[in-house]
Amino acid sequence: MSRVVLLTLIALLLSASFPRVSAQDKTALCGKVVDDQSELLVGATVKAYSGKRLVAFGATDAKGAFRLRVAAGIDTVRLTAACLGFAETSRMVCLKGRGTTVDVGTIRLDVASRQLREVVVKAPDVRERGDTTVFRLSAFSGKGDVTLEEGLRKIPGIEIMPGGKINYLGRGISNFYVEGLQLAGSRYSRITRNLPAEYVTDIELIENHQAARIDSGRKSDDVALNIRLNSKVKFRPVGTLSAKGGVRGSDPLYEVAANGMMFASSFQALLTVKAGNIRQMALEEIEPAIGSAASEAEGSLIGDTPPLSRSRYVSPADRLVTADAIKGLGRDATLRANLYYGYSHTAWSYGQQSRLFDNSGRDLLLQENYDPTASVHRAGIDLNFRKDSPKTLISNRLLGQFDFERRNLSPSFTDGSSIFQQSKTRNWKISDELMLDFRTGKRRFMLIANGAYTISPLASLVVGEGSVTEISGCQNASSHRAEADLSSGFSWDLSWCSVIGLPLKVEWINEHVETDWSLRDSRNDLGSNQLELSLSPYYEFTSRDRRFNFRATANVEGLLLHADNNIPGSQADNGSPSVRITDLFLSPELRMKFEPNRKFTFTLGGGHGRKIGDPIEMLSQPVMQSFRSVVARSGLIGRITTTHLAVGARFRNTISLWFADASASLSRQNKDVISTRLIGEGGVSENGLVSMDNSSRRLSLSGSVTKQFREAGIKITLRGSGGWNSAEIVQQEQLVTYRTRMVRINPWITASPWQWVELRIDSDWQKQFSRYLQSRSDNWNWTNSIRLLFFPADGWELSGNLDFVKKGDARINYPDVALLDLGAAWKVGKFRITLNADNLLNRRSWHYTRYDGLDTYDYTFRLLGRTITAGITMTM
Amino acid sequence: MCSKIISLAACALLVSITVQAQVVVKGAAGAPAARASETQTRERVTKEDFTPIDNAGYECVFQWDVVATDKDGRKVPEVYACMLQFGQNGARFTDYRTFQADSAVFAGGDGVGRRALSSARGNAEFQFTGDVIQGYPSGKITYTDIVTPDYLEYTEPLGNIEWQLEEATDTVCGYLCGTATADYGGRRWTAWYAEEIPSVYGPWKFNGLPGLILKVCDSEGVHTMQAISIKRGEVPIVKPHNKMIVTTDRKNFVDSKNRFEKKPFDYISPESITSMDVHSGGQVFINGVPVPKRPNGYTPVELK
Repeated sequence: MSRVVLLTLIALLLSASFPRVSAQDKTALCGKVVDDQSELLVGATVKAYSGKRLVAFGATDAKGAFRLRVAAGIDTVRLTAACLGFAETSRMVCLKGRGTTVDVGTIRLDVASRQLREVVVKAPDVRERGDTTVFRLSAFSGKGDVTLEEGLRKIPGIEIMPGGKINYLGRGISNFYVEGLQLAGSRYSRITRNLPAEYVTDIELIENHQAARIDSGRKSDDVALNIRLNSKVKFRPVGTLSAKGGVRGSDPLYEVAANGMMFASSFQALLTVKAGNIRQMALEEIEPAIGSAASEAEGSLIGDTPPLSRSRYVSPADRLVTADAIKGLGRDATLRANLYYGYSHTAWSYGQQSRLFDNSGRDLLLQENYDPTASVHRAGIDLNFRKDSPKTLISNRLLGQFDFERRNLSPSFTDGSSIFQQSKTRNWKISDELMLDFRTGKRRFMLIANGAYTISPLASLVVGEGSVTEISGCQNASSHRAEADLSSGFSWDLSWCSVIGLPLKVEWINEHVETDWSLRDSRNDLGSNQLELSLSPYYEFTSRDRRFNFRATANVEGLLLHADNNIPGSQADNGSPSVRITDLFLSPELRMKFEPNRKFTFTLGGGHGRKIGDPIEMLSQPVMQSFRSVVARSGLIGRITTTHLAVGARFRNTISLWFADASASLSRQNKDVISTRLIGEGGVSENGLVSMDNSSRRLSLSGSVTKQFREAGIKITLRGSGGWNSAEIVQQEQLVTYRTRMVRINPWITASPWQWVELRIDSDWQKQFSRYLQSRSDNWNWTNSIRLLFFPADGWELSGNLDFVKKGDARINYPDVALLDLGAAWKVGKFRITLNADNLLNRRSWHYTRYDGLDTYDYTFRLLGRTITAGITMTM
Repeated sequence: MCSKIISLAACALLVSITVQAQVVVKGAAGAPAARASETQTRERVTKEDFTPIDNAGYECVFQWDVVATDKDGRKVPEVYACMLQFGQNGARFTDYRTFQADSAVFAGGDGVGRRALSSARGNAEFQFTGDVIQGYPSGKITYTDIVTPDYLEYTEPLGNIEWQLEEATDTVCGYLCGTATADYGGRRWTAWYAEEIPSVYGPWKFNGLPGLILKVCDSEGVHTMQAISIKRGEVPIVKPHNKMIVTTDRKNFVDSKNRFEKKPFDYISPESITSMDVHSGGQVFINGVPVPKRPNGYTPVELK
């Protein structure tokens, strides 16, 4: 036992002595570092290497001295000394046999002008800040993306819809800001289509967005987009100038455009001037057309619009001038002005085969060709003063717009005959909205006053046979509408999580519509007054962790409607209809939002509501809408009750760059009037309403998944949607239930695995089904757009685009259509020179089928021929 | 808590009535002049308000990513932008906006632009409130930070982090970097240093490696500081004068800072308040010293 203790003690002693021995075995290297003037250098790094291995390091102290400790067993080290602004020096030092401390003396460093490499590492591609997701645009956009809109298409979760509307995770954005200022209001395509992508650094998507700061912190389902600009384009005027020329067949083509912009901290402006006949550009960048009762009564000779880019079949001649400016006035106030004028003349051509339901057992088949033209002049002004502070919102918005439209939709028939049809409308509208909203403590008060006046002094439709001189029918209409509403309300924060509110709204509408159909001496003179009162108390709850939000609203709506159609006595077959409606109903509404974490959002909403039909239904005397359509309304104003339920889910993972959304909505409408249609000789239809209870149901599903493979430069989006609809109609005096279904799958891929190539694939497959009585038909359509871009050298871009369409149904085998475009671009300095050849194969026709109620329409659109253009763009 | 805020507000109200003339502007007795970098949003700041540390060397912008935990327990990313100026004799690490505001003085600004920059700094969502001078005084680190209503400052020796060199290498900001690990302030850190840049300095208080430290992160991934740009400096490295500084040691500072940031208004004693005002953007100043805005709470760098 004593032996064991002795051995243990020895072992302990030995083990305790080893570290000391080891420490003692280290060799200290010391010395000084001076510059070429023998001045001591502080903070110089001194390193000792054994071979390539760093074995000791240190820095010189305030006296220029250093002391390194090198482990035992190393005989020689390479000692290096370096300091900013001096050349590195090294020397070999032998340690063997020199004791525990080796003084290497003074190391002298010579001044050297060597500079460090100046590098800038890119910022992160995506980052999250609260409800805001920030995408660095250059990390996603490609070399071929010239405008902001093209760059935005590459951002995960974002989709650009036709017309320039931006969707994020399946929802349209509610606001578009440039550096926090809403320069262009709702027509933000003026910015996205005119602002060069190179001006933009970051794209910020703000979820739970509240447009008013007084609402900040409250949940919403809105998403806003804010762009951050490159500092080089701030505080100085910038812009682009471009000119293009070319030919299409024997027609000369041109396009000129100029954009001037200024983005300062409290002032932004954008001026755009464009003119040309290569592509349609005017109407998508300005406000939409004004609706009016006269226009609605007469319908519109628009012709059919297929699911094909208008640039493939429409010959345009457009002019556009827009001016947008926003100025900060003080800390929270802004004044925004948007002015616009657009002119668009378009012409296209198509053949139409209509299969109209006839309960005789044989559908009525009609075949005709159209060469529609449309000319639109539209101008407007939008002035908005807004003071938006956390406790007060004061806003006044003044809008004025006029529309002049002339449309020609003259069919020609297989027997060589033709009919002349031309419509003209003039609409004017002016409105003003004043909003006062302020908060004191837990209480909030709101007052909104809105006034609008719309006048359509003339809407006319001229129908004749053969030519303009053989007018056989002229339908005129005019209308004016004055409306005013006043809303007030208050809300009260019951606690940190609960709010109750009590908005009250009074709305008054006075409308007068006159129609006159000269052929039948059929006139309407409708006057209506509508007073609506609604009280919408709501309760809103937000959980403490802000993950759950719930809002319940109970709209109590009261309506007084008085409408008289003073038909001149001798012409009135069914007297002068007059109606007085007094109605009171309750419309409950529920909305829930649940965000279990930062990746998932779930929404649920539903409600039940009732609407009274439009007083325009009192136009009981026939109104001609086209040579083939006459509407003789029944004088009945129906009641429509709607029950709807909608669920949605969104997912976003900004680390792995997976984005997804899904939504479903179900609605049921019960009506006490039903649409009627009677097709007579030559396909002339008389449309109207009769009193009969009926219902319709609709189910819509949509969803998308996006994955971004950052390293490979690939974005894959798969969007799918489907719809199911069931409704009833009385056609040829028979009640028919019809059902339509639609399935659509839309994959979208962009890939840029190498810097010199980019591939974009946009595919759209859809299938439609139509069912009524014993009739069952369906068709499918598959459109692919494949675009390949090469960047063979710096500044060079070669592109090829192939649009490929396949189509089929049970009746006809349609030929496949392929449209090929080629292009080249060369960017040198501020200039970009382009050469394009569109529809190089000169394909001239495209087929399309549409189901409308019980009727089926087959179209053959005439495509624009081969088009060659060359242009130059200068970006300042 | 609530009563404390009310009493603080009442106190501030009384003070603002009685010493309105003194509020925020350079204080009279009992209200010492505020730090040059902060209060001179309302005064003209000159070069004399700074102590020169070194000539213009290099400027390295760091992105500091913090994974914060908000009051609901959710992980929230925060991004700070900081500037490391380093030269032969010293280095300064501070918030990028602070650097911009101080640089405006040396860039020949008239004070107006600086005022705007200071204001922007105050309204920034995330701001590093510390100011780290390495190599001043010689051989030491001077760390200054806000613990309202004071600025606390302490020094510690330069080079007291015991780094262990590792084999791994990586490229940061275009420079080949070696790696090293060390325990400091209650966290395990990994640093990436570029031997090609002969400087012992680094972000925050990190130093003592044989090359400039270009990236640091802790083992839990809570704090990551990474260089995103390096360029030649244009303004000298300076230390702002601050007459409101209370000198302490590192241990006391860490204790005070972490207690203060947890519940600022519990930490501040009402008696110590001589002025309180709220600037645009909601920035609160007590005795001219800002109360840092922490939308997701405070995520300490040093745990002990």
